[in-house]
Amino acid sequence: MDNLFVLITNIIFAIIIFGVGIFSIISIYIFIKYGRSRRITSAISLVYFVLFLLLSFSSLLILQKL
Amino acid sequence: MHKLYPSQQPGEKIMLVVRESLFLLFVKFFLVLILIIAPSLIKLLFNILSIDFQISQEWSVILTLATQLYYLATLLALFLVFVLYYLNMNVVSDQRIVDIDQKGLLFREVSELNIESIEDVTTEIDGLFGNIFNYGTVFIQTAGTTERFEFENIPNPAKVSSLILKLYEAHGVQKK
Repeated sequence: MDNLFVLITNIIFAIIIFGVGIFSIISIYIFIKYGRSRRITSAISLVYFVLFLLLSFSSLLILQKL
Repeated sequence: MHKLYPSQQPGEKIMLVVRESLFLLFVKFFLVLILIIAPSLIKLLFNILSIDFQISQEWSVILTLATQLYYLATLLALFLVFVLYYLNMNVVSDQRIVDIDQKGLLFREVSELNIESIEDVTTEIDGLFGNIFNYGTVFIQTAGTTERFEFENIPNPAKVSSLILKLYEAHGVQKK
């Protein structure tokens, strides 16, 4: 496939993953800061973040196939 | 001790912490779950109807990537639904009533009201599901021109309003 096309696709997906990542970090920060129980909020945030990382890394692996 | 709201006093007794009805949370979760399973359902539908798109290897990779990002976004939506549910709460203590509204991720509003400035408490149960699952809104009118407090879509609104009135009466007796 055309190199320029691959580059543009990479940039678009990188921006989306970066955006979702920033948004996720802000939500986790707000959740833990204002949540009543630190233990519960941290545990839920951890589960979410692990799922987020798994999906992001698998996206990056798929991106390499281009 | 972790404070529920900024002005919480050390000796203040928290009587009730109430959030939106669980039924409404499940409805929101259900809607996001429909979005999560939508791509699989569409794929299944294409298989049943034997529709086969002839796309190149590269476009197939891009389609997989787009699906992956879609799942990432729906996962974030699911998390946000829970965060907003968890951070939106109403607190009744023996001294005050606190309405914590997390309207958006970065928009938090905390309103407090002294028990003694309560004028009247109104309970409203609206709609079929509200009646079946017993959730509704409690309005607390304050003295003066202050906006009335709203505990929106909380479970057992009648019990909450009766607790608030009991606390008001107890506070009045203590003052005398």
